Amino acid sequence: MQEAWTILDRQPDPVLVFDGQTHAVRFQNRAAARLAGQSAAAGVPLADLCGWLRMSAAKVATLLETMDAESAPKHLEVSHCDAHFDVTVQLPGLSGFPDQIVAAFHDITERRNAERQKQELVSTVSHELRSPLTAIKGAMGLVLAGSAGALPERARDMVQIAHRNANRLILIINDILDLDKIADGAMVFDNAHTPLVEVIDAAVEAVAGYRQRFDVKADLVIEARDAVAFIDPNRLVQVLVNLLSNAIKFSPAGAAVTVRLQDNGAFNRISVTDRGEGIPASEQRFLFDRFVQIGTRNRAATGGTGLGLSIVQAILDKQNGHITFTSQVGVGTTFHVDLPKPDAVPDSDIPKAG
Amino acid sequence: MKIFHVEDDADIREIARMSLEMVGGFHVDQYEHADAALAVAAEARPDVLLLDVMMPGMTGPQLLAELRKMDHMAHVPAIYMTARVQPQEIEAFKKTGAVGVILKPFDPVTLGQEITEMLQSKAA
Ligand SMILES: Nc1ncnc2c1ncn2[C@@H]1O[C@H](COP(=O)(O)OP(=O)(O)OP(=O)(O)O)[C@@H](O)[C@H]1O
Ligand SMILES: [Mg+2]
Repeated sequence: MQEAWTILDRQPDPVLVFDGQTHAVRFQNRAAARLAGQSAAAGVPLADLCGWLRMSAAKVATLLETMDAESAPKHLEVSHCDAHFDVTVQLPGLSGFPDQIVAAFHDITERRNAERQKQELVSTVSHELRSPLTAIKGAMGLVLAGSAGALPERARDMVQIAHRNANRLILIINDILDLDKIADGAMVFDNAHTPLVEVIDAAVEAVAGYRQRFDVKADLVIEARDAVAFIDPNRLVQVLVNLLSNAIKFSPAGAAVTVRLQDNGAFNRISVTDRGEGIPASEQRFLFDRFVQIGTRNRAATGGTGLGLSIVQAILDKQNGHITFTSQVGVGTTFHVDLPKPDAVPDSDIPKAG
Repeated sequence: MKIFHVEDDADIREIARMSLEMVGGFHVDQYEHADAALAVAAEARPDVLLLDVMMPGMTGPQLLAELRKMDHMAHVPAIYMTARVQPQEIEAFKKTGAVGVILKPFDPVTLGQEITEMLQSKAA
């Protein structure tokens, strides 16, 4: 047993062991002592350490509550000065440390810095693309409007294709910039107590043209007419518009998509159901990744870049929301957006501007 | 109706001029940067200022602050043109004394109409 502690002590990554009941520090290895300086001496309660790590004590406590000896290790990201750590929290149970919590810190500063640089590059490039695109779209718009005289029909068709694709590029750049903004916390959320029925109406209204184009109806099933969430209404509309446009473009002509609003006890749930071709189980876990598009569907017909769901998830993440889905090939797909009820969210967890 | 347009990108300037003159029926005077605009500002008698936000040297809002110091420019309605921004940023622009913000890329067919509507909503 003593050997195990010695091995742990010499680990290059910082490791802390907490008492499972009191959450006080039982043990720290050398690397942890170096990292923590004086403050993480044995006996210090977890809540105090959280200040040191600038992490939310509530978050850690919640994390611990959901864990037991059987559960898989959980990950937590924390920052300390200019360093970033991926913390693996584990309850090893019977494997030598009964009733203790082991937190191992893995330094991911370099990875985070590289990501940040990549993000800066993305946002500069996207901004630089915008000026030439303004000129391209503008010139073609004027030509199509007849400002240069009447066009032969075939020339008109070609300019129209170019114009449509310039518009598509603009949408892609907007999506990339949105993701980028969310990722570095620059997207501002104007949270307010918002009736969810209003958000649903606005979103369904916003996709009216799209529905017509694909000949898809929208059915509303409102089971919780008074449901309210403390969220940014415009961002939630953006989320629902993304889900609805997916549901519509992957539906067969003449079908209907259903939007359902339910009170689910702890939270309110908005579901978007389609009767489209569904998503194969093997592909499901990649669905929220950037630029992921599934299968060999006719891209010209459905369009898109595979950024929609990444944006949806990123927005919901910032709004204490949660998205899940169920899908069956040949039957259809349902996306569920779960939003906490206003009083269920502790004040300190409501994201502030920035 | 005379538009005083400041924009650093030559191609966008050209598109805006064609759009505003040919489709919109406006008269447009254009300047490449704030210095060029300030050099003629004393003589200019525009009905509306159309200013790009991000420009090398003075930005649109900085230029507007300079123009507002001149008596004859103090109350000319101003409109910014900028790449997509968040709603909150648009509000901030309006606080610097603009009646509206036109997003780039703009639609050359409706640009003139957009400007007219902004001027009307301000007058109302
Ligand atoms: N309701 C759905 N039914 C079937 N497949 C779906 C559905 N929603 C999403 N998908 C699959 O997931 C992929 C990713 O969706 P996502 O919204 O992220 O991108 P997109 O719709 O292709 O493009 P974008 O939203 O950026 O315009 C889609 O390309 C599609 O393959
Ligand atoms: Mg999509």
